[in-house]
Amino acid sequence: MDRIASIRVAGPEVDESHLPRLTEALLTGSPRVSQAGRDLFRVDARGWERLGGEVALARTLHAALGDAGFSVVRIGIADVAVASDAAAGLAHEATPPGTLIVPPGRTREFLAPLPLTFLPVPEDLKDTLRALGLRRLGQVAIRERAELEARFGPGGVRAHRLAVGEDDRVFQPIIVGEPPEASLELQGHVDQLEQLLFALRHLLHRVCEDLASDGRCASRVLLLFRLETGGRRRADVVPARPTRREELLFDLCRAVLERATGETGRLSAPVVEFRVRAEQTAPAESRQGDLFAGEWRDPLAAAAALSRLRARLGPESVITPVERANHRPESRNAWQRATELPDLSPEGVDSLSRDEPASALRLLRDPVAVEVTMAEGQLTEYRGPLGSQPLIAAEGPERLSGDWWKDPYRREYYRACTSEGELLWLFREYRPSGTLRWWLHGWWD
Amino acid sequence: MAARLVGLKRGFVELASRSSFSLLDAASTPEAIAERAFEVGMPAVALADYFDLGGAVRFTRACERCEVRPIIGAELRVEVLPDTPRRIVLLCMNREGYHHLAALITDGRMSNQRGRPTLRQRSVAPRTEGLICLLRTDEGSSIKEPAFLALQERFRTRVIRLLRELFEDRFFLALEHHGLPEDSRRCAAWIELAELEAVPWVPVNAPRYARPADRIVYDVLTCIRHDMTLDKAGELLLPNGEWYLKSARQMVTRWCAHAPDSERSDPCGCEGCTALRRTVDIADRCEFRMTELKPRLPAFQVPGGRSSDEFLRALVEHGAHERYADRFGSDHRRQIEHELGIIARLELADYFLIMWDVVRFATRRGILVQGRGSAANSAVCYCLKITAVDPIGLKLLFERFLSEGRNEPPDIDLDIAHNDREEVLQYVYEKYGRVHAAMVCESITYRGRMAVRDVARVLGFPVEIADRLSEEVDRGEAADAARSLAAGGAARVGLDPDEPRTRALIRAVWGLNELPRHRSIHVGGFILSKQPLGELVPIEPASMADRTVIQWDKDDLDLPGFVKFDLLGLGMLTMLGKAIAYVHWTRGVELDLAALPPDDPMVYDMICAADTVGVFQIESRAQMNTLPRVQPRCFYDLVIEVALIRPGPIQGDMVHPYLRRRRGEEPVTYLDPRLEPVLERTLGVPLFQEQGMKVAVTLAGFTPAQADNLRRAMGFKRSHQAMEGVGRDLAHGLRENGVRPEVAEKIFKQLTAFANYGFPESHSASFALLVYASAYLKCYYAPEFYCALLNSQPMGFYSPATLIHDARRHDVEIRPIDLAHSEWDCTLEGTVPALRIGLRYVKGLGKAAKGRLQAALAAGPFDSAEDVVRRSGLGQSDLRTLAEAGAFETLWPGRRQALWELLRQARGDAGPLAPRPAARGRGPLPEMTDIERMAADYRSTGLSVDCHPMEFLREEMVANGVLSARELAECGNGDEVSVGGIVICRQRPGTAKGVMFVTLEDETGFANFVVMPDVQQSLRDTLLRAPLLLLSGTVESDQGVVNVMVSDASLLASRAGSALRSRDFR
Repeated sequence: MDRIASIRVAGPEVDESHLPRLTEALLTGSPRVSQAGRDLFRVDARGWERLGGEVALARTLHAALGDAGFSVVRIGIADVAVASDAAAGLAHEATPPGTLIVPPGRTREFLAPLPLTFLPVPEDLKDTLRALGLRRLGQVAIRERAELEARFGPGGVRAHRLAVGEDDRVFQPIIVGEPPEASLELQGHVDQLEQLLFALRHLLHRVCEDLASDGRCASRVLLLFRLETGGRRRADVVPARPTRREELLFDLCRAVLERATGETGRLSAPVVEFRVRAEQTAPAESRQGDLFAGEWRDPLAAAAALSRLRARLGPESVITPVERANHRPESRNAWQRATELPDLSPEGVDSLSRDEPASALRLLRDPVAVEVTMAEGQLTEYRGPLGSQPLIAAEGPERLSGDWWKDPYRREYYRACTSEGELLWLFREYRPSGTLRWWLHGWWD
Repeated sequence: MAARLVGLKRGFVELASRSSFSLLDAASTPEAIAERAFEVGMPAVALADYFDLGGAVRFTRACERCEVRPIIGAELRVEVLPDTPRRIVLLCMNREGYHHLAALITDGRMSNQRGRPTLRQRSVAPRTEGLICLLRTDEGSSIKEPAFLALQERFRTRVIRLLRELFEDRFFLALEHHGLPEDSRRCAAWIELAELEAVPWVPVNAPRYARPADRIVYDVLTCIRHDMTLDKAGELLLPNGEWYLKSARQMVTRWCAHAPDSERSDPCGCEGCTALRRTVDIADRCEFRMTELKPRLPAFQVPGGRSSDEFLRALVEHGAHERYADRFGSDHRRQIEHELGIIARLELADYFLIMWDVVRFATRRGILVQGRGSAANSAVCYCLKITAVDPIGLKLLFERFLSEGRNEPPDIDLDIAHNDREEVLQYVYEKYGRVHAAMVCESITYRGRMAVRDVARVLGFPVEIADRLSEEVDRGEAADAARSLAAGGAARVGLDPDEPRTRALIRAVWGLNELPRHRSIHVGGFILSKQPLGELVPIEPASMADRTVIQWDKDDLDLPGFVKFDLLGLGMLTMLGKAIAYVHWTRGVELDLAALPPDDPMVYDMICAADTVGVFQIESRAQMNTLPRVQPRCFYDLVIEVALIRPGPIQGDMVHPYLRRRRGEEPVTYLDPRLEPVLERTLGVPLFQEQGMKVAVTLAGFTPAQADNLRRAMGFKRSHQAMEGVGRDLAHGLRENGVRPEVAEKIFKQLTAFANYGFPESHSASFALLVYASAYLKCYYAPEFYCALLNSQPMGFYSPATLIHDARRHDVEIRPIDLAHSEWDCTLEGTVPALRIGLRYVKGLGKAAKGRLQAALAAGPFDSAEDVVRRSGLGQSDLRTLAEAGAFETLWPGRRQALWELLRQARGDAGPLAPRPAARGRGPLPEMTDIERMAADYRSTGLSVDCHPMEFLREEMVANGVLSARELAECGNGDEVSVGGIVICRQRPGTAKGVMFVTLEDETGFANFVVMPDVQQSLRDTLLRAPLLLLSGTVESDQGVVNVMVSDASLLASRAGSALRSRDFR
């Protein structure tokens, strides 16, 4: 006879990233684990007779899941999935709360008083059954199967089978793409960079081989260290593009390790285990490269260069300018972390603007307070970072204002020419307090 | 009127202002534009909304008030060259130009997809006379490629040459400079081109709002238009706040070559100042005024070569003979002659004939119609059978309807059975042609809640916060909502009032006040014209198929002189028409609404007992509360009753004095003895507009025309301002006629109260006829009455469930929905007719199911469940709905058994390989309990014919000392009681100072409750949301009217569950 344990997990939102941890915990109860819903899992509950029975199984699962960070767990154990799922749903009412075990052979009796909510069939079928006054599984179970088939077709048959406790749903193993991983137990006092790099090359080689056999590339590599002190350390390596090029990954990992060991060239404590895992992978590109084709001339090299920069200087080190639709000049452009390489294909390069202005505006990100003198409506003198200079001509004002709902601004811009030929971009700003102040926002050269 | 501008060669006139009628693309009303122009000393100002003249009349009126010359224009999008539209502003120089402009807008609107008007050059070419054209030049490109720039210049040159060819010396370039970096360069390029092509140019600021502070409203509207938050709008917003109506001084500062700062304001001889002066010249050439329009009605086709006046006279004389028969005397003749004389002198015979023709069409088609409103003051209308009230018998005042002193057409409102109104509308369209007929539009302005929701969304507040904010404000105007948020509403939702975004929210909501949000169709206003209507006012397609609307709403029609025909839908007429037909079918009795037995005591007994659910106009809770106090015993009492419970009399503090006098609790006195003949019928309390007029004539020496002005001020939307003007004359007149100051003040206060929807006596009388007719039918033909009411839904105050319970309390046998007997509509069965609920009340049956059922029923009644399945072809879902509603009870007893069987039949033959069910099956399905049946009834039909949900709770209620509605009626003043029931009415009227009124219904009747604001605060959630309530409080009993002052409220659980719905705040 089959015995199935259904586990309903609450606590943190269960998403795909939790699956490895969750599966690991579930595997403490049984080698057969299956996911039945977003937060519902089933394990094979057989084989625990000599280990304390199903109560012990439930206890073990509770403990393992608790350790894995899943605090609210309900477990139901029964002969078939429909009953174990229902039992898991009702486990909070059991004594002690959290586990409800339906004795073997008592499935039908258990299911009979349950409302249709526990029948895993489409909602409109359940609505029709309710309209017929069949509000409990037992009321469905006592109907003749053929009667239900005549009215609901295969759906009716399925509803009846489930209501009487006939459930042939089999285990669907959780398919969690096992990340290619390699590890080494390190003997002795291993804390130096060189020692670690030696181990790294070996581990990376194994990981890259696994990737190659899976036809995949690593888009994120995790370096995990278990320290002699009992602590753990980890570091992420993110190549610009998914890759399984061993040399590239090694360079990136080395840069990370160099940062981790710092000037001393040593870690804070000796490492007893070093593990390398391709945490995220992507299908390998199947395009064939061509040494002489223009389209192949840059991307990988650029990717490698940027990745090295990122690895050496941190993830924020590679940034790219973006345009923002904003009237405030200093907000029209921004730097943002580069997640993708710009289009370096010939078409992409050609599409870039080739507008070459006669003079370039040097825009200050943060305008600098200056003093400007006006006489009879004319700007006459400038005092600021460029020293004190008479202004011989000015054009303006050009007005910009906005953001009245959060950070209002009201500016009048002037292009002013100093006696020394400097072409300045100045503005005066009216603050809500009524004060007025001059700022230098840039210059042309 | 402003001085002519000839000789005024200094200054500046804005020629391209937009108002809020450029929907969501401008932030100030036409009035605000005019006021701003006045403030900055502009002698004239042009309104040029985008393909729209909707603000033209309001703009004209506002300009007249401000002594600013209005220039009427519009901005159009024209494909001057193929596929390259340009925007031009056209300004009307004269009447011909106006007709061309209206026609062009009509063309642009009617020939394109709704909301995307555009014109071709060939449409514009024949319509340029009388119009000045300004080419907008603010459109440009950021591309600086020399080849592109050269191409662009060639293109611009071609556009300029083409437009100059069309408009000759009436063509100008309009240059804009809003202080942006690119403006100077762009303007310089255009000026160079203008010189090259020898085309004059003018500066415009093309304001999108009147005052600088309105910029935030414009930004909000921009975001609403683009469905975007302010934070994300970026460059969709304008880059600065320069798009307001600027003064001449500001424009000189901007454009004068010698005035780079604001110190210099005098124009000089420079190119910029010359261009500025040119705007004044253009304004001077635009002499058209809206009052010049004077549209004429289409001539009515009179038979036999007679004039319209002669034909009208003949019809009236014939009608008078029919209406008055032997009663026709000298008074009647004198009045009819008087009216016909005025109609002839005002050349309005065609108007009356057109209306007569509409009524004649409806009558021939068996559609009930009845004139209402001031037309009921006219004996001519009565004789033409447009109205049903005898104005001579009721001594109604004809001048309220029509007078020679009033320079405006009369207003005839025609109520039409609402189910059949479309037929009448299409008749008018067909008879006069769509070129000459269109409906009046209604400008829907921002209301408080909508403004709060829109602004909150634009400011990026989460939806939940937006919802909560909108719940904090009443259903008033946006300004009220802003006040409410500022006075703590925003803080209650958890917003920091000092936070900039919260302040912005309040300011922006305030700014949306009175701004139009969209345009819809007026409930029934039609206009007709002799010349093509689209040349008089732009026409556009309405959202409804086969409807076209003009761009003006009803308040805009008087100034240009349009006559409006109000063809309104009235559910009560549909209901009465059906009830009369049912009475004929069931009992063979022919009822004539005009010939019902008058003053029937049983009818009045019923009304006095407030047994008026379903009765026209007097079924509301407030009316029901008043009926036992007024004790109506004759037709005129009903006229008073209809007018009494209105905001005007309530706010004017006229209700209670009238009630006390009615009961003899206070003497009938008059503020001045001269008022006795005027106010005698209403016991010295002025209730009707006509009385207001007569008071002014009697005590202030007003002429009828002056009195009518006073009346108009009382009734006009924005009458508070108008009242001030006539108020001065009234005060003067009263003083001159020896009225004591304190009396004069009281009179003025009473009349002022009419500003809020004071009722004309004639209107009240027309409605009272329907009150009596519907009450008569309810009293004597209850089954037919309720059947007609149920078949005319939605209408009235109460839900079908409440109507059914009321019918049961009136011993009407209600039979459930049954496919063996029911038709789509409710029907009557038997000689003492029982009411059979129709299939229309089964919820969830879509149009397709309706069509199938009606087609199957047309072929004969169903005789078995199998017959239903076979002939209707309904699917499992519809069959389940019908079975749940109990519709198979005769064909297959037991709802569940029926459904069980139907599911099998609907699935068809299972085939030879299907397993065969055992011969006896597994026994019956569980029977429905009574509660389950009631819950299924409410779920599937929204009503229950067998029982009331409260019956199932009654035992528990009795055990806990909770009274029924009937028991409550026996309670005395001061008794502490608890009553439970379904909420059938939850109201908080604007005139009640925050007091909420709740009505509960149980199996015995209604119970009324009053909840004071402080109690509402503490019980808010319970009071506002629960469909079933248990309310406790103190009884206040007066003259048979029982109310409970609520002190506590709690939820009542029902096993009907979520199927029950309350009826709130209607």
